[in-house]
Amino acid sequence: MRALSILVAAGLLLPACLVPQPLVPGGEDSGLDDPPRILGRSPEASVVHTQRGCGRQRFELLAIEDMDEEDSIEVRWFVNYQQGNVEPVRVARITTGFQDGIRSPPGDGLDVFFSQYEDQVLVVEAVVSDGFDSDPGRSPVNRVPLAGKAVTHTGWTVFVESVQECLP
Amino acid sequence: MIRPLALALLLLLAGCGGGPGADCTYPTDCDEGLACFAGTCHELGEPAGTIAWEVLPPSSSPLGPASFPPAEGPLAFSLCRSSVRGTLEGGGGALLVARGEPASIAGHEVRFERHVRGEFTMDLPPGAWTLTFQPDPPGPPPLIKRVQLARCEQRELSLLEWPADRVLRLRPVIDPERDPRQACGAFVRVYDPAGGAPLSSRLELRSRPGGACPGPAESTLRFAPPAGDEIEVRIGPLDAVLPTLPEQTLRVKVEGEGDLNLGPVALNPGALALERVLVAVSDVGGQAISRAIVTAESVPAGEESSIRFRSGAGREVEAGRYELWLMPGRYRFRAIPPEGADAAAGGCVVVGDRACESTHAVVAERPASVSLALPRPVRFRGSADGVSGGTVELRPAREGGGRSSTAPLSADGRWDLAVDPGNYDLVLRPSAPATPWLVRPLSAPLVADAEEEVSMPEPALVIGTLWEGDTGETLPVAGALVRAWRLAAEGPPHLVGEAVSRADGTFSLVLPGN
Repeated sequence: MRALSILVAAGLLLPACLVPQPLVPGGEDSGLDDPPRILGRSPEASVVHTQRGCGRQRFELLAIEDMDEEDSIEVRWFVNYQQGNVEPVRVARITTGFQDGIRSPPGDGLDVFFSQYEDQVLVVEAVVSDGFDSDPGRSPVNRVPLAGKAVTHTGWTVFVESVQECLP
Repeated sequence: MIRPLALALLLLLAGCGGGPGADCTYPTDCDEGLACFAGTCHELGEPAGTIAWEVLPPSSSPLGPASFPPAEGPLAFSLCRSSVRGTLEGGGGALLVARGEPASIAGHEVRFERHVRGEFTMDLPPGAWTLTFQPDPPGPPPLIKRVQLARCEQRELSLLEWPADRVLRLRPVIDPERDPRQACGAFVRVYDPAGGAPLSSRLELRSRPGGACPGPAESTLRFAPPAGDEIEVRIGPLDAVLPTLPEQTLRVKVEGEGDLNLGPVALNPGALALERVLVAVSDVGGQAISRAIVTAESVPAGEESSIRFRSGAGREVEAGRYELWLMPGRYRFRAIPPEGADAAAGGCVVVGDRACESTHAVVAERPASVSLALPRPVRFRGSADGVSGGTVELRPAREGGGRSSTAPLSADGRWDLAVDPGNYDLVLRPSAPATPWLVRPLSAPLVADAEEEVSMPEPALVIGTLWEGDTGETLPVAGALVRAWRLAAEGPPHLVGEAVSRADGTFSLVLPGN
């Protein structure tokens, strides 16, 4: 009888220790779309002051999180988005890798060369989606998500002094 | 009969109970060499090199960024806010720029900026910081403070007073010897030669429409005392799009008290007119390249010369032909082709039948036309053993790098990149979870097509938890970005892994091992 109870106990315990329990990412089992989230960016400040003499400024999304493993993440970068200037200056698709909601690479970046713009104020935006709508009739053009998908957005206002110096 | 059976079972349970992935409550629940973390036994690895840590809490968090020194075993980082606080004299405004290195991550330069007015607080990671307050509106010299911020420290800077200043007098002229008329269209700023911090606001000598210079012949500029006994006066063109003046640097001894008088200062030494230079940009096949960024920078006449002329970007006057206006002298030309062009950034001037030259002389009163042949991009192919999918990136090394380039890794771990010739760091990020990155400098600068087979490093699992507060209270920090920096003997560190903390504050990442 004692042997039997030990065997029963073992039967209950052994499978429990032989089958490791994987971590279930939040949102995966909810059936709803988990929207992408921007976890960090650089520069951190929304307003950036610089000079033309610096030549360029780099903007980065440090990491984007989306718990839906099947989702491919797309980052669209815009500079001075407005009517007549709705095309992204850079498109990055992050389709590979998934660990705890982070892809590989985890984010994306854009170098803005000041010589390409005459403006003294630049608005740099990164729009991130797990599914952009390609319908050009939907507004804001190139920034609308498909039904059931989402967009998230971050932006910087860059004041570029038109002078050939570069302050540290 | 029963005894041997129970013993065998106990041995079985003991064997399975402490292996990697097994449940645990206490460290003794895991096999020797394993760590009990978040209720599971883990086999921790030993990352290659010395790893320091940076933690960036989510923007919704009241916590600020933090850094931590190398540590072993399951990591436990408690986050708290460190900041500088102060009050600007007179309630005025300033652009506050903080530059420095977070503690423990030597060589990782970081810059924060924000507008402040009256009382202010700025969150900063612990570390050594140079705070520059640039007055807004400009006028008084910038205020510079250097602070060493400790973990969880709220540094009170108290009342910040604009520094005592001195006056620099100068009389901007075209050329003191050849043309002593008043000149303008330039800026003047004083810097500290020791450390390079700006000691003054920017004095802008603007011209009226038509070119006439308004205002008095003599200009004045207020500057803060330098650390040593010299200041650096930098003069440059106000118009960076179409510069008409060279940049120059003057070293001036600061002696005695009272105003410092420079007397006449040439804004346009060596040239009274600019020459039009047409630059035809093509790839190696002779195909014209449009939408390139074309610039020229003068080669200093001698080691002592502090005068240089930098053009703005050339205007494309017809397909592949760009117009530059340059003062006479010898120049190094450079063009950056648009993305997708079959050409690399570079500049090799072809003059007639002569071979490519790295520089070209612009002669007074002789309009020039030069051809700039851009090299073909260098192909860098390779494969990573045992890798299926992911990304490969060439990051410009600190010296001599071209533009960064990224490409996907194929299912069998192959890549094919087209990059500018230069010196790079190779970064491979496999897509499979629990696989370490490969981060290392290329063995040699890329000057010709190259192929490389790489072996991925051994994985080294690192786990940890982020807590809020400094008191050991158990408030986990979720959604924070944890970055692993491998410290370098000299130069900036390499980012070798990153992870995001889970809802319970735990994080795990697999770093390159020994």
